[in-house]
Amino acid sequence: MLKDEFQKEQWLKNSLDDDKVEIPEQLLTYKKSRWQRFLQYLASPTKDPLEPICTSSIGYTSLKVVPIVAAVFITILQILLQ
Amino acid sequence: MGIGFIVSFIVVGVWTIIILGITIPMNKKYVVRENGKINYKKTTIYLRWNVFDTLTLVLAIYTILCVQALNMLLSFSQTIENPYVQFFTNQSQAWVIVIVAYLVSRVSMTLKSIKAHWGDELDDK
Repeated sequence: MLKDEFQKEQWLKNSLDDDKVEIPEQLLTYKKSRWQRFLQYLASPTKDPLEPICTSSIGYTSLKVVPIVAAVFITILQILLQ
Repeated sequence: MGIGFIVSFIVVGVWTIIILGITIPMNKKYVVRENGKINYKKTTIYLRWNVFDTLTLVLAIYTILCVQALNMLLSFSQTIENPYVQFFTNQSQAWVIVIVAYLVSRVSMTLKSIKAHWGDELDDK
């Protein structure tokens, strides 16, 4: 509700009507609940732990070879233990 | 019904409730749906490595450890009478199904997302 003084002044009234308040979207994130912020954290981008391995050629190959070698090694170990 | 089975059922049940309680609200929030279909062009969550993916990687490693623990126990000639064998048997079979199904669907969703975003560029090759 505006006071009468503002209503009398035509120029003031016009400029007040033209004035639009824009709320930045950043401010909306501050009012989130703890649960919403937790979900936001889970969906936030983070560093891929496998990325440094995947980029190098040796790492890329070893990522495929190491599991096979480990499986064979464990199998041989079990046969020897029997 | 051994004690190992009972403990394992409780563990799987609790974790299932926690996982579903997290994933369902997360999908509602970040997966853009339009009249019953997922709009992969507007959904960007599958195009990057998230904190949630790190958690699934942890679950995958836990599953591998469960299988190896079961492997070791059986190697030392334990039987299903042993509560530890019961526990690791149940954990292994439950989480292997969950994690394989999840990771395969994650790959397929990522590929779908890539196709929706840059499909026209990829078709030329």
